[in-house]
This record gives sequence, structure tokens and C-alpha cells, in this order.
Amino acid sequence: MSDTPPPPSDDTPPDSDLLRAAEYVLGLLEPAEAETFEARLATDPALRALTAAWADDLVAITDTIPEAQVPDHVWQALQARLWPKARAEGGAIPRSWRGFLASLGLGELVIGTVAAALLAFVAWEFGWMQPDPDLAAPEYVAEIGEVTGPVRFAAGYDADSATLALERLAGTAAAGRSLELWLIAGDAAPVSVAVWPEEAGRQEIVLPAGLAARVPEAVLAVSDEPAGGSPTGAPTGAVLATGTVRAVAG
Amino acid sequence: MATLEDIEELIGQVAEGDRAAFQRLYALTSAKLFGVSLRILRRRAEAEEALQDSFVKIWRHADRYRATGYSPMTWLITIARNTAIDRLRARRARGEDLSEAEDLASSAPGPEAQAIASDERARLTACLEELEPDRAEAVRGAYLMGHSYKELAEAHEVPLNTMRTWLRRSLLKLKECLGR
Repeated sequence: MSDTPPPPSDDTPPDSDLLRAAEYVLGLLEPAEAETFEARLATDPALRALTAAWADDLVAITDTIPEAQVPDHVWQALQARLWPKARAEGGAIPRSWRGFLASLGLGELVIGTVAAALLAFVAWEFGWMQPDPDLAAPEYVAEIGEVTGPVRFAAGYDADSATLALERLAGTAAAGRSLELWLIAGDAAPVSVAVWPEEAGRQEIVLPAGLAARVPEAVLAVSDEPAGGSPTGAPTGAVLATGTVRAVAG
Repeated sequence: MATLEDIEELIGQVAEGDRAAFQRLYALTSAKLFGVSLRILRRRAEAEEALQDSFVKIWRHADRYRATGYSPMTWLITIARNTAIDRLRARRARGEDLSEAEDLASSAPGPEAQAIASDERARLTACLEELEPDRAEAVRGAYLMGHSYKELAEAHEVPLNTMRTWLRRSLLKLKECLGR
């Protein structure tokens, strides 16, 4: 074979394409060759199939590579790159808010680092961006669940940013189940606020305008649901804890 | 446990711009893709950047997934592998070979105990074993180190054309073995 890439006639036709595809997958083609190959890929289903088969074969080389824990900040940075307006609120609960909750007798708050990575998740589910929440002094709070109950959450709501901060104080989902939080305003049907990620200690959720207006005096409830949340959009399992939202005096 | 069908469905949703699906896809696959980036780049900070780049590509190009005919994990891992290889090659092009020489020494396969059970791997491993050891090593070197024919020829101390012939024959043998 010559030093320069051989023309296709150098190999028998089937081997030529077979080899080209393998060399493409391995990255052994020169840039110009790779470009030509990609142009052919776009119009040649048989060549695509050959290439996909090589990719599937050779990717098995990576099967022995163990998974590696990705630091949370990678996800934060990725979000910032993809959706600059979607602020990923990392970090711990504002000190003043923490002190505030403590003063209400809500006890030690769990501040999970995993939770920080999940903060924007629920906001996405609803499809809203996260504004800049100021939760230093929530205007509304709720204690969800009895003080000695098995499932307890604390909630703080900042009306200006329509941000509901939820903190799990006690309780986990049963095996293969999820905890789901609901907002119930008056006689209206419960609206799902969050399917609680089992590893999360805390979440902030930006409520849509329609829901935000109904937070004052609403009831927040936690129910036991199938993994991933209620399949129907309404609570289907036992209600494990409830709490009424009340305005913070002063 | 997510199935390949789940991953495929998530990629489809990501192609529609579904951010929640993207986050789920990230949660399910980023540890594997990070493992691959780390193995190839061997520097944490750079592997983290490569992982970010990979997921930016996944977000932007999810609509192209179906047309490739790749299986979903193959598509994702291939993006991570190619992104890391591009960085590794750029590093080599800048002449940062010295640290890599150290790295080469530690390029042995990772702990088998943590390996995902896979028929394809067993098949590929068996077929690589049918090749002469240095030729199997050349295939691995091309995949995991992004070595060019020229670099492979230098590493194995054979003329460029010999390496080209070696590797091509090895690939044909490999395909023949995998097809058995």
C-alpha cells in the first residue's frame, strides 16, 4: 500500500467500505478523508449501517472502564452554558433563612449537596426559568406533618420571586415508591408541586403565576406515590403529611 | 434501572428540547461518560470540561441520533470518546507529551470487577485475543488514545505502511471473528 490513502480500487470493494467505516470510527482518517466519508454517510444507508456496526463493536472497549462520580459543579456549569438565563441556585440555604426557620422551632435543616444539583429540576418540569429568589425572609411558611410524625417537610415561600423552598426534615419514600408534594388551594384539585428526589434534602421550585397566587392559605400535602410520581396527575396513594401555609407575622 | 429503550426515549425527548429529559439523561449516563473521559484524558479538570462539551453536543445534536443507527449508549459514549480524543490530540499537538508518557504507563484496563456485564465486550475481548497482542494493542490504542497511524507506527517501531497494513488486517480479522 502507498503512503497516501489508497483509492478504493486498492482493496476489494466490500473490504474497502468496511475498513473505511472502521477507520472513521477509530478516527484514523485524515480530516479531508473523514469529510468525504461523512458526505457519503449522509446519502448511503448501507455505509451508515456498516459504520454503526463498527461503533457498536468497538465501544465495547469502554465496557471495562468504571463509572466515575461527576462533581455537582459540572452540572451547574453545563446548565449555565446551555441556558444562561436558567439560574442554577447552588449553595446552602441563606443563613438568615436558616436562622429564621430555626427560630420557628423547625430544628436542624438538612442541607444536602446533592440537592443543590437538583434545584432547577422541578422548575424545568413546569417549564419555567428560575428567577432570582430571595428567600432570606419568606413571607409565608408551612410546617408539613406533625412534629413527631414520620414524614415532615418545611416550606418557605417568597411571593416576589414566586419561589417555594422545600426542606425535608424527616421521612423517606417506601422502597420503589416516591414522595410527591401537592398544593391544594380551597376546593380546587391538588396540583403536583414536586416529586421528591429521594436523595434531595432541599428543593426550590418556581411556581407558575396561576399557582403562585393560590399559595397563601393553601394546604401543602405529601402523598405516597408510585416511583416517579402519580401516573394520573392526582394523588393516588396515602396522604402522609399536610400543613397549611400561613403568613409570617410582622 | 434504566433500559436502553429508556435512554433512547430520553434522547428523543431531548431532541424536542425537553430539559427535564436532558437532566434525566445526564443523571443516568454522565458517570459512565465521565469514566470514559477520565480514562482518555487522565486529568480531572480537563475530563470535566470534556464531559461538559460532550453534553452540550448531546443537547444540540440529539435530533441526529436516530439517523446514525447507533445504539443509544454507543452514540453517547462515542460522543464522549471523540470529544476527549480531540482534546488529547490537541494536547499532543501542543507538545504536551511528557506528562502523557507517564499516563501511558497507567493505561491498563480498569478494574474488571466494576465492568458492566456485556456480551459484546466478551465477544470483542475474545476476538481481540485472537489477534497478536501488539496488534490488539494497536486497535485499543487507536480507540482509547486516539493514536494516528503515524503515532501507532512510532509506538510499535514499525514503518507507517506496515502499521497501516497490520491494523487493516487486524480490523478485518476482528470483523470476521465478531461475525462468527
